[in-house]
Parts: sequence; structure tokens; C-alpha cells
Amino acid sequence: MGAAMIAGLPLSNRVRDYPESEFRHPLPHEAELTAGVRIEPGRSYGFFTDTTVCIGCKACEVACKEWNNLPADNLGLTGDSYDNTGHLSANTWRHVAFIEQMADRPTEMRPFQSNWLMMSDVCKHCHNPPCMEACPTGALFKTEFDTVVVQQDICNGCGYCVPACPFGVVDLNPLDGKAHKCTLCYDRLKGGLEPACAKSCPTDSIQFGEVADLQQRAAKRLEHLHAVGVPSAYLYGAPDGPGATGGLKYLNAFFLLTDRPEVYNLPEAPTRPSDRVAPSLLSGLAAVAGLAVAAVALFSRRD
Amino acid sequence: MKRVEGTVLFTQESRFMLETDAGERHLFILSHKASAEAQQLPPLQHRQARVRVTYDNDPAIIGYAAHAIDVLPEQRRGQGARQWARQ
Amino acid sequence: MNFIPLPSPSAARPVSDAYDGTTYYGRPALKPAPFENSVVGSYIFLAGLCGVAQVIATVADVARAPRREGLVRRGRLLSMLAPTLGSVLLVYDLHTPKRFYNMLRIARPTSPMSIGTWILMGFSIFSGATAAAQVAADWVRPGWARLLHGIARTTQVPAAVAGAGLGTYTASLLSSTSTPLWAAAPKSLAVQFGSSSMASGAAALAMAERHAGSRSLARKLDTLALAALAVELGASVVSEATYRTRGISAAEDAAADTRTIAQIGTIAPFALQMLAGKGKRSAGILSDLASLAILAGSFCLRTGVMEAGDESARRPQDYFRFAKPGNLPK
Ligand code: SF4
Ligand code: SF4
Repeated sequence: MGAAMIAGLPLSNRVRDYPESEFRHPLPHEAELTAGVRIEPGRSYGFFTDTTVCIGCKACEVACKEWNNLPADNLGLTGDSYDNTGHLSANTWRHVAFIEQMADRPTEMRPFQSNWLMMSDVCKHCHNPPCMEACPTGALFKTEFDTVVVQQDICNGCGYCVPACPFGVVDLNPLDGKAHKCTLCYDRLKGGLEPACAKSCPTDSIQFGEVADLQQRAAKRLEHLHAVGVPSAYLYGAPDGPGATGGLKYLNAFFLLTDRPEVYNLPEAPTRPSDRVAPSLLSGLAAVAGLAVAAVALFSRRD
Repeated sequence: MKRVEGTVLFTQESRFMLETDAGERHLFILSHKASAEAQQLPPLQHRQARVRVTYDNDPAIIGYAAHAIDVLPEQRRGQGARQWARQ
Repeated sequence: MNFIPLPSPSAARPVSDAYDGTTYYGRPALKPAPFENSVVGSYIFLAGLCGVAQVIATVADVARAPRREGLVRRGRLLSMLAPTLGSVLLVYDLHTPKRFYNMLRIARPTSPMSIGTWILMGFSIFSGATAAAQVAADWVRPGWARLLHGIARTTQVPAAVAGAGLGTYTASLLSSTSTPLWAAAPKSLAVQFGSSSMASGAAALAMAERHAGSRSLARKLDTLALAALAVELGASVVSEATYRTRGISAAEDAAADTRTIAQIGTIAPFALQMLAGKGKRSAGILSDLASLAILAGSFCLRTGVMEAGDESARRPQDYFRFAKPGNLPK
């Protein structure tokens, strides 16, 4: 793919091949045109969500619902700022959080987001995904794009992935009895398309690409933000940083945040639940074995 | 339980969009009690099959719970529309 | 123009060991397990009871306990509740029960639910064989019976090993999640579950021995049950201390009633057995009461932990306090 600066944007040279703006046929490797990346099996893909440019338009939420044919849920109003979506669920795979920080005086307001922090939350597609490590049926698996997907023809709704996820993402739908979460648009990736949310994001707050690329892009963006006076910016889910602690390593879908993780409803230092399997099993067995030895002593006593 | 007939427009996992003969579109989720499985839905989409869905409301979502899907014979395709036109 | 000095990446990270109580509108940051606590709690209780019943029967047989035949038979038969009723409970709790067999597609060492499935499978096979040989031996001619007892004596060993796993893996099932209360003290919770299993199995078999008129074995089993309770008490003190230092103990109030029964079930048996040791006439009743208290306590320990865990998952402040760098495993 030849990347060139076209009209100030780093776009693929291929855009010149398509002067029309409406298409009656799918374009081969469309993501090259929309995200500057060719999607090929065997590589790692993910999202870099830069919250400093999010305007809270919820285009990502809508695009996700549309493409994935997800019904509206969480009906009603929450009263919590403009967030009536509430949380990620079996039927909601993108969730825009709204944090109003209006206590500061106007002169102290940050030069972006007008002291509203907005963040489009999504499944993190963890490098070492706890949901997948917990799944006893193998329904949850790593795809050829290094994303984490629930295979609907295998999941039996045991629900064990739900408490395993350190971010409260994956959810059971009691109606169809299966676990659901963001698939990073598995079907679109197979067709060479950029995921629906990233494609629809008008500010490029959600960027889709190869994880290594995105991490570099994020590092540059961070440097820039620090240089222009946003020292609070940091990456959540970058290798071994906040959000990728305790053996998760890194998150394929990571974020640039400007306040503490908890403000965005994210844990600062999540753990990898499977690390607790061995210590727990061994301690339990030791207790039973010890008591069994006591039983041997008791039983072999003559009376 | 209610019944509705229409065309399967598209499917995703256990969800499918049905266009009724009156041209309304409704979202259904295949219930875990249904004998049909989610992996049987995509062929219906490819054929744009006409089906009869037995369903229930679900207050938690804007959509319905599908309990049974009966594929209608192909020759009846369009007949519904004609009937509709006659009314 | 003044430039703010570039902070080093590590300085930009919000490293703070103190959690200031921030939440996102108090919304949960985690999803509680979608298990039905009474169903899965019953399974965990049964798994413990049956697994340990097999362990006790095997230990009694191998240690050649005097007059052990009745105890061994009852232990082997009691253990059959897990493969039967226990499996039904597990399948019932699935949200797509007709696909229960998908559990057997893979074996996943990172998933206690997968480990448990295979432990239950192994236990069912070996315990089933042992129980079948036992039942058959009770019916056939002595010559055949000796052969069948030989078979049971062989199969009971792997059955007992699986039984020990069955009585304890359920703790790691809970601990290997992100639910704060379950994840905070994996080792002591496992000791609690394991010893509570031992107490419940010993209590149930003690009661049966008493009613079969085998006093001395009943007394030994009662002692074993009390020893297990003592271990459980010790481990629960460790767990409680961990919850308190991590600042997540408040969630336990959600299961206050269940916890009270569980606590009575671990403490009352000591008093009841002491009284039984004194009073001659009502000794049997008091000992039975102690056994029943142990069984009720063992059941409530499991459901109580499950309820409290769900509540801790719903409390964002608990999770955020728990998910701090200071709490990471070293
Ligand atoms: S964020 Fe949760 S659901 Fe997504 S991959 Fe990680 S553990 Fe699985
Ligand atoms: S609910 Fe489905 S995806 Fe989740 S752990 Fe169970 S089988 Fe796996």
C-alpha cells in the first residue's frame, strides 16, 4: 500500500482510483481507503481510542448497533449526564461515557472537551484475554486477526466468562442464552472492511489499525499532548501500563486518557484471573490432604 | 404467542431482521428454547427466505424473542404482497 | 512562551496507591457472575460432600479401620450424589442447557470450570465403578464378592484423588475471576472450601454411623469433622483479615443472614459435641444436631460467599480499591 499525503491527510494512493462517492459494489480492501491499513489474516488488529478528540456524538454506538443488528436496550433515561446507554452489555458493544467536570472556573478549563470527558468504551481484546482463558467450551477464541470473539454455535451460556472479564465487558443475553461482546467486526475484517465504529467516528477518536502501528501513533500523540500542555495524558492498555497489568500484557483496544482510570469506570491495575488457579487448587488440595492424613491416624487407632 | 410472516433481510449471530408483508421491519432474537440454531439463519438471509416467526415481546429491548421459525414454501413468495395489495 | 516540561511516561501514569473513591456515577465496573446462587451453591455443597465421602471411605478402607464395612459402603454410595444430582444442577444452570456436552470439547488448564468438568467426569467414572462393584458385591456369592471388592479397592484410589479435587476446585472456580471478594484471598478461600467439604462429608457419614449403631466410628468421624471445622475457622479468619485490609469487606453485609448461619454452623458443633460428651441420654441427639449444623453451615458458606461476591462485583469502589498496583501479585 502506498501511503501518501493527499490533501494533508495520510491516505492510500488508491483513493485516486475511486473518484465517485457512492458505490454499488464492495471495494476490495476497503480499509486501505478508510483506515490506511490492509487487513490480512495473521496480523494483530485493534483500536486506539484517543479520548481527547471524542465529541460524544455516539456515532460509534449507532454504527455498531446497525451493523451488528443489535436491539436497543437499557431503555429509559439514566439522569447521568448524556449517558443513557449506561454500560456495555450483550446488546451494546460500544458505550460512550460522559464525565462532567464543571467544578473548575472557566479560566481553569482544559483546552479540549470543555471539561467534559468523553470516552467510547469497548471490549479491550486483551492480549491474554481472561474471558477466553475462563471459557470451558472453547467458544471464546482468538481469531486470525488477533481479536477475541465468542463463537455463537459453541457457547452454551455457562456464563463463566462474565465474572472473568476484568473490565465488565462480556455479558450473557438471557434471551438467546449465549455470551455476547464486541467482535471487532470479525465479519467486516474478513471482507477487508474497517470496523463500523472506527469508520463512522467523525473525529478519528477511534482509530483502527495494526496494534504495533497504533501503539506508535499513540506514543506520538502522547508526546504531542505533553508538549502542548496536557501533562495528564497517558495511555491505558499500552504494554504493561495501567490497564494491562497483572499479566494481561497489553490490550489490543487501548485508550488515551487524561484523568485517573476510575473516572472512566476502568480499573487501574486489573489482574489475570488464571494466575490464581494454581495457588487456589494447591492450597485446597493441601487442606484436604492434611485432613485425610488426620483421618488415617484416627481410623487406624484401635479401640 | 404471536405469529408474523415476512422475509429474512439479514442476520447477525442469533439476531435477524424480518420485513413483514406490510413493509415493517422488526428485530428478532432467536430464543434459546427454539429448536433452530443461530448457524441456521445465514442461509435464510442468502435466500431472502419467507418465514413465519412465532414470537413474544421482550420488555427489556426494542425487539422480539423468536421461539420458532417456519420456512414458507418458495411459491408463496410475493403472494403475501399481492394479498396485501388486494386489501 | 513557557513550555511545560515533558513528563516521563511513567510520571504521566496515574500511579497512586490510595484510591480516592471516584466512581462513574456509582455504576458497577464489573458484571457479577450470572450463576443462580442457590443452584450453583447446592452443586458446590454436593461436590464437596460427595468428593470427601469418597475420600473418607477410601481412607477408612486403606487404613483398615475396625468395623469399616458399613462406613465404606455408605461413603461409596453417598458419593454418587455428585455425578447424578450434581450434574443435573450444573446443566440446569447453563443458559443453553441443550449444549452441555460442549464442555467436553476441550480441556483448558486456565479455566477451573473446564478443570472441574474433567474432575467431575473422572470422579463419576471411578466412583461409579467403585459404587457399582460395592453394590454388586453385596448381592453375589462370596467368591465373586471377593473379586468385586478387589475391583472396588483399586478404583477407589483414583476416585478419592478426584474426590479431593471435587471438594476443592470450586473455590478456585470462584477465585479465578475478577470478582473482588472471590479474587482477594484465593488460598485461604480454597482452604475454607476444602475443609468445609471435609467437615460436611465427615458429619454426614458420622450421622449415618451413629444410626447404624457403630459408635466408635461415629465418634472418630465427629472428631474429624471438628478438626476440619477448626481448619475452616482459621482460614476464614485469614480471609476476613484480607478483605478488611483490601477494604472490600462491606460487600459481605449483602449476605449477612447466610453468613450468620454459616458461622453458627462452624462454631455451634464444638459446643454441641462437648455437651454430647457430658450428657449420656441425649448424646445421640446432640451429636446429630452438631452434624446437621455442620451440613447447614457448609451449604451456607458456599451460597454466602457467592452472594457476597456478586455484591462486591456490583460495588465499583470495592473493585477499584482492589485493582490497585499495590495489590498486584509480586
Ligand atoms: S475486555 Fe473482557 S471481554 Fe474483552 S477480551 Fe478482555 S476479558 Fe475478554
Ligand atoms: S458463556 Fe459461552 S463464551 Fe462464556 S465461558 Fe461459557 S461457553 Fe464460553
